[in-house]
Amino acid sequence: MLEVKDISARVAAATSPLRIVGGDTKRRYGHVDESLELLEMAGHAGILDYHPAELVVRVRAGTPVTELVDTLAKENQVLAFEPPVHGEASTIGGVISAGLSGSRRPYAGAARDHVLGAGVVLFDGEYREFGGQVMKNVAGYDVSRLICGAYGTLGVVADVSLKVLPAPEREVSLALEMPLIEAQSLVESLTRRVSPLSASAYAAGVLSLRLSGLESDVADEQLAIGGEIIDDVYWRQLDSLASFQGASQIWRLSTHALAPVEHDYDRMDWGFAQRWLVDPATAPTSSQGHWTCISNTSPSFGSMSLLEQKLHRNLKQVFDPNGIFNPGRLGEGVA
Amino acid sequence: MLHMTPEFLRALKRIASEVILEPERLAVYEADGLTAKKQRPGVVVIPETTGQVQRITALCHEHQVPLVARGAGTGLSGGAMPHHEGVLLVMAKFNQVLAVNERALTAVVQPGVTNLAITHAVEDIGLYYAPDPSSQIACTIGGNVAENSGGVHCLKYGLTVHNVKEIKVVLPDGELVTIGGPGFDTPGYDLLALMHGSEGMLGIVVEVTVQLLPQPPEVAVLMAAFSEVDQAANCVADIIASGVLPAGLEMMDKLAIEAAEAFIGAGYPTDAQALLLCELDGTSTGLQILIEKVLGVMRGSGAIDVQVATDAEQRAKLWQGRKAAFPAVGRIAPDYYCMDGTIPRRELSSVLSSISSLSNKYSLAVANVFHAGDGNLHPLILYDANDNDQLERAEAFGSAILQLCIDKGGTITGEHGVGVEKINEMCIQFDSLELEIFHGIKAAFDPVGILNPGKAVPTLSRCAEFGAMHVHVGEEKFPELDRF
Ligand SMILES: Cc1cc2nc3c(=O)[nH]c(=O)nc-3n(C[C@H](O)[C@H](O)[C@H](O)COP(=O)(O)OP(=O)(O)OC[C@H]3O[C@@H](n4cnc5c(N)ncnc54)[C@H](O)[C@@H]3O)c2cc1C
Repeated sequence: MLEVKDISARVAAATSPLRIVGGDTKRRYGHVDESLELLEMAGHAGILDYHPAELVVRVRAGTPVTELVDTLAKENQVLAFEPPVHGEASTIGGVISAGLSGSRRPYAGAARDHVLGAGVVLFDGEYREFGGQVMKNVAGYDVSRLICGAYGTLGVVADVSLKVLPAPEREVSLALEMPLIEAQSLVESLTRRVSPLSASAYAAGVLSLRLSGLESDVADEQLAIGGEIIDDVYWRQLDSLASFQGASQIWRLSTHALAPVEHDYDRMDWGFAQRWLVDPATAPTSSQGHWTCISNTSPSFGSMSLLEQKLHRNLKQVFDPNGIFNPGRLGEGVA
Repeated sequence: MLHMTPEFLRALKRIASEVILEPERLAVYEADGLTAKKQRPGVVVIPETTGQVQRITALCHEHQVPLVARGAGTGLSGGAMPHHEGVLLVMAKFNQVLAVNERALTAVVQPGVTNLAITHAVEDIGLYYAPDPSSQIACTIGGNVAENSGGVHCLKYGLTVHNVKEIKVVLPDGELVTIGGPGFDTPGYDLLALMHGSEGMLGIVVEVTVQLLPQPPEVAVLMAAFSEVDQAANCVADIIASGVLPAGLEMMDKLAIEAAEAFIGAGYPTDAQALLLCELDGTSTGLQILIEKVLGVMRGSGAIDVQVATDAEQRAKLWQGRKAAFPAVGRIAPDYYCMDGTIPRRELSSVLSSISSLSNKYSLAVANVFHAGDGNLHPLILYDANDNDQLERAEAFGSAILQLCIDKGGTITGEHGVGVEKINEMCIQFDSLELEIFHGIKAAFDPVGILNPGKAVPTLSRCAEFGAMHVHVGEEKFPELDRF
């Protein structure tokens, strides 16, 4: 068992940069310096506080995502942003630090939208708490959301408080074979009104949809849409990127749903706002949105303006003046 | 610090046509919604374009003159209280809805557009903007971003931060930066989240792209009256625990009910000690199921009277009393002081009972009307500002409530912000290590410290003076921030 005081001691004593890892399942996201000394968070695990009626769980960062999800499931609750599980070892601290959300993202919000608070160990080895366990909190700057997606470049996330929600009464997943244009317009029409749509993906001429909600609402919508019922496990596999295993470069475009389809994508999900290309011949470009390359050899995040870069460097300087936390992970000149 | 020299004022007049210096016109801007804190601004400027905002900001930066942004001035924590030797930047002329993208479900608006005007601009096409502060007729989206405002519907649909996709911001040196974007994420740190609730301390918001939602097909409002405050408080927890997520779940206590009834006659039972208003939405079949479920919970919690309103007129009537509760309370006392602490829901009944004891201790009445589903309290302390002793007692009472919220694992502010009002209580909620980081964030955006100086984050020496923290003078990490 790794305690906060052990993490603090490691950080305070660090004379050279540390590579913070949970399950080390996201090595292909951003620049990872394998030669750095490891700070392994998996030992700092366990649920600290869980009151189902409060819809809040406070959990240590090293807790495996699957363990957390299973615990919530016993109370019929879920993490609505549907954390992607890139392997059994994947920890909640890793998911939050990477700011990753799953198939439900467009319909229920992102990981950051469910972060209520965080306990972090910063440059001096001191443990600090930001945010809290309540639903609304505007005291001080929103540091707990800032660390979500920072890839550990600001500090060590020791624990997080997350908003949880009741599990939907019923879920059904459907597959429909249809041309792209029809798929786009079906998804758009479902988004344009209140509907139980909770996931959508288009690949190889097949549109997959998931409906979640009250029994009767799901049944009505299912009847209207038709299609063939598929196993709900489809979405978990999709979010894990399992089907792209073995690729040397996975390119992800984050754009808006209506952006022109400029490539022969291997998959489009999040209501066409997230698009994937596996091992393209050349680095893809697009007129709208930004690309992330998930790769062992040539990872990259989307580019940002010079002003944004400056703000990133300034913030990095505040949280990590000695540059010990995952230096360079977000890219050179950024953080 | 540098003053507003004649040269500075001449340069300011060259940039913007509307520059106010006459004392009687400046007086209009002395305070925001927190009228107990007043400060005459040095000068008021009302710009019309982003270019002007950039030049004004750059000018203030160059001359090191404090700059405070103001939307509608409905803030309740003194966030828009002016600086007496600085510029008050009034965003009132940024009042255009620039574009509505019906297919993408977004609207691009200027920061001075009122919250309700956004919904008005899109309701004909079946859409709306979800966060709905009670002040929505008046407050601006720029102010909403700066405070991360909430409203009745935030229980289900989230706060401002959950409903904004992109903002354009003028940084303290006059540079314009776009934060966020049309997709679901952007590379790097979540600066969009950081800007929300930053109280005009990090940049001036000059454009906002909001997420719109389709209007729910069916809506119902349920009202339940209770003869015990405890029962109402427990009913809140029971509804949430039942797995239903209401669109809104609000509570009012006896004094608030009576004031609202006297003011507009919404039909609330005045013999009740507390009432709950619960809004549910969904499809027609779905809604019936939810109504039955919640009615069951309400009866099980001991409600003495329940009403269900499904048509628009009846619903509006039930909500009217809640929405007018603040002005209604304003009629029964010369002044009221609105608190904003947030607590875990399970502490509702114990905290309400402690507030009632504190009310006796400070000999001031208190009305409670608040976002119960979020655990976000709004005790309204009744007092008379002309009586200095009452004002002091009201402030001490408020501070005691905030201390109570922190003790129960909550926060001093759920949606109104820290401003100047809760600056001392920040020293209780955070220790010097955390405050140092806040000062660092401020300095990362605003190294000279021109934006809204003295607000939101207390200096460590202030905390030391307040007695909540031990700091040796001279140990501050970003001493330059205290220059004003
Ligand atoms: C009767 C009443 C009911 C209320 N109910 C609620 C409620 O239900 N929920 C809720 O959350 N709040 C509520 N409020 C508080 C208030 O309305 C909100 O905080 C609102 O967001 C303030 O908007 P404003 O335009 O009036 O901002 P102002 O009061 O003018 O300013 C607020 C802060 O925002 C900054 N600011 C304003 N514009 C900009 C800009 N363009 N760029 C950068 N910073 C800017 C200011 O410097 C200041 O710090 C209520 C207030 C009243 C009087």
